[in-house]
Amino acid sequence: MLRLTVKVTLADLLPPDAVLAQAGARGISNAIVRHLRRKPANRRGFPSSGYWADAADSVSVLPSSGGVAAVEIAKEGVALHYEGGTVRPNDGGKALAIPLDASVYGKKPREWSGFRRGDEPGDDDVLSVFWPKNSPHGFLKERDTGNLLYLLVPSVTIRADRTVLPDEGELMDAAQDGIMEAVA
Amino acid sequence: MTAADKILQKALVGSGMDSRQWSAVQAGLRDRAFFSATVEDVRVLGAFRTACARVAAGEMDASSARIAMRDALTAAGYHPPDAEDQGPGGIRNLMSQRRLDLIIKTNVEQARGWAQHMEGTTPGALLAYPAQRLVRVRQRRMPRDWTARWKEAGDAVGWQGACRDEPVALKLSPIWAELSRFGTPYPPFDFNSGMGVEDVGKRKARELGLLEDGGSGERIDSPNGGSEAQPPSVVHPFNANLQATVPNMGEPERQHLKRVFGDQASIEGDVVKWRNLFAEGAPTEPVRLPAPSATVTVPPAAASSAGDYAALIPALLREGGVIEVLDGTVLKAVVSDAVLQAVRIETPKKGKREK
Repeated sequence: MLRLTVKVTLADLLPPDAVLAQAGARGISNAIVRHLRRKPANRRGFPSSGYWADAADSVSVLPSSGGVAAVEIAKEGVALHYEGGTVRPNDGGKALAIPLDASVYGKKPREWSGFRRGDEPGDDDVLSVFWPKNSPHGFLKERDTGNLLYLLVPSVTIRADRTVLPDEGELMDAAQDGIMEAVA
Repeated sequence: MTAADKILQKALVGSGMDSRQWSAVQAGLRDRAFFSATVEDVRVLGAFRTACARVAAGEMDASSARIAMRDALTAAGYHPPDAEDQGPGGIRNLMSQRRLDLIIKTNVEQARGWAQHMEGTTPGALLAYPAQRLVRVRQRRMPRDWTARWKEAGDAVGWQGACRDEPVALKLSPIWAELSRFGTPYPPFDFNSGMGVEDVGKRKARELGLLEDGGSGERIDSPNGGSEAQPPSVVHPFNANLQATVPNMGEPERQHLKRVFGDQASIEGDVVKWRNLFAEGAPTEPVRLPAPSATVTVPPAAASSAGDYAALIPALLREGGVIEVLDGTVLKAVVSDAVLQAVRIETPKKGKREK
């Protein structure tokens, strides 16, 4: 499970308090939602799948305890984008499939009728594997048209992107706004 | 309870009813049931429910969810209908991406809307952000006329807790449930509407006349009844006396409210009342900012500005003192300064992750 958590801790000068922490966390949650809703769509120009809007919808404030509250983004892949990392195939798979065509964006190869990873190609396969000899990359192509639909790679390394979240100054301002609204 | 928990707690209701028949079912019942039009096999519904919950929890993407749902349909012996209008891409074909996406989106969005509404009405969130604004969060080729729907909904509920000029209303106003095709006071308000909400703070709510100082304490009642599934809609919102009924407020939260706001708030049962200490002409009796033990009173003569008070705070806290001030305006500035210094935010540390 990939989750991103931002904690708000009221310390030192204000006594620990669940209600104020909730207010501060709500301010942070609002700032993150606004930030994610403003993020541009995918860089390849494919029709937007609404990934970042979905991520904004998944932002939640977890139940607070004492002076600590946490904000969570429960959207697959968000923590990976934020922290960076290497993705490898799971469940014994040999390669990751990267969409090369808008028609397959947001759609895994297994969704294509007749294609099953690890199966021998059959007559009803819609996709076929094309892997040039000694190449680190392969392709999945549409059997009928020969169009290359996916790039096959053994792993993908994603660089950490700290702009997934507002910067810490903005988060701090947002927490203060929440608390100030509460005591206003 | 998370959005995923909300989905998992729904009862599986296999039924041959179509979407029109389901939409006639009472909102409260629909909210407790996991169903899909014309799907009668509860094993299939169970697999659908699990997939939707995993998407809501951020554990699964939509494509993987569709694969799991199709596998369940195949295992149950489902065959797509032959009729042309129900073909491969048709909404009546349970295997189609369009139909599966609709099931995933509807359930996940409703569960997230519910969870966010619950979070938005916790004592702390409600205290800071008592209202919300209807906003477009996703673009649509043919957007519905939400201005007209807002007016219709407002007229239907007598504009209780709602603003006529802007699509802003108290979170507990009945306008939200009235606005919704599903009868729920949270997004989504219709299929593929692209509309959502964003918080509006207490100061803006006052500016819009949704919260006032003084007044008769009028209550706003919801037409939706008091079901557990829709707690905010049955709650009585902030009124002219800054009074709120906060649902599901446990003893710890009650104690916290009391401790933070001391004399500023009184709590009777689930009803919280508080005074606007910083309004013009507000009483100037001492206000207590809570702290651990002894009381140190700061008379006006000892400090004449917010900066002076703020400078005293560390020394006072070292002595375990409670700060008492005699002027609400100065207190506000002191709190602002204290907040500036007291909030700590901890974000995840940079590191490589493997999936």
